[in-house]
Amino acid sequence: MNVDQAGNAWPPTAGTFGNPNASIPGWSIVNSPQPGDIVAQQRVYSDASGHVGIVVGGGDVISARTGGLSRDPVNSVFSANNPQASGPIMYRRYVGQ
Amino acid sequence: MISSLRFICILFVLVLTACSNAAVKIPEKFLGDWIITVEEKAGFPWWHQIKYPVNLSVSESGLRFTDQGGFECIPETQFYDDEIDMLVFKHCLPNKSQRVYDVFYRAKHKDGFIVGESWTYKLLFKWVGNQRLDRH
Repeated sequence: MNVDQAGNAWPPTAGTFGNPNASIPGWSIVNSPQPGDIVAQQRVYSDASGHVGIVVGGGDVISARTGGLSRDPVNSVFSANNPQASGPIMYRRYVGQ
Repeated sequence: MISSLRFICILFVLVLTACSNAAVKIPEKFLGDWIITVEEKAGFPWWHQIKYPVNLSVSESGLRFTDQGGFECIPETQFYDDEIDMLVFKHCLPNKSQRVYDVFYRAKHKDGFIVGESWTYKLLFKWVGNQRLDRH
């Protein structure tokens, strides 16, 4: 199986980015998101492991929605109340290897 | 386009088969608990995203499975087709997008193993189940 040294799926899935226990080489978990960071949440679907987006300015996120890429407020896309959510909302920043 | 039409035809046949085989008893060779591993191949690792049954429990009354995310499921859509000697079932979870085809599975018994496939609009990957003997 394609996994990294920590046993996570590689390349990282949305579910891996959203897993608070997953260590992704080159990516650090952050609490104060900035533009360019990744926001992700684990969700239970039959065909996906979660949802992921790129944080942009103004508290918005760009992510793939039905119909294509969409810019939306982060809290309208990533919510603990999402019926398929199975984990917290996680932010990660690329810090290099 | 041809691929889509082919899929719709397959789905139509599956639905018809499900209706006509709803009461068919699952053969004894399928019964038991199966531990499943993916048949990994080069290319996109669909099994990282598309759920499949890592544990499959088959009884005369039907089947239940646990996917690689730990989600346990008794499929609402499940049947045994005696004409092609195959178990067919769907996942219980919804798709991420309502516009995509459902994930479904088909499995045959071959030489003591369960040999299965995960499908959406096409065959994505195959898997093999070894029978768990410690429960018997």
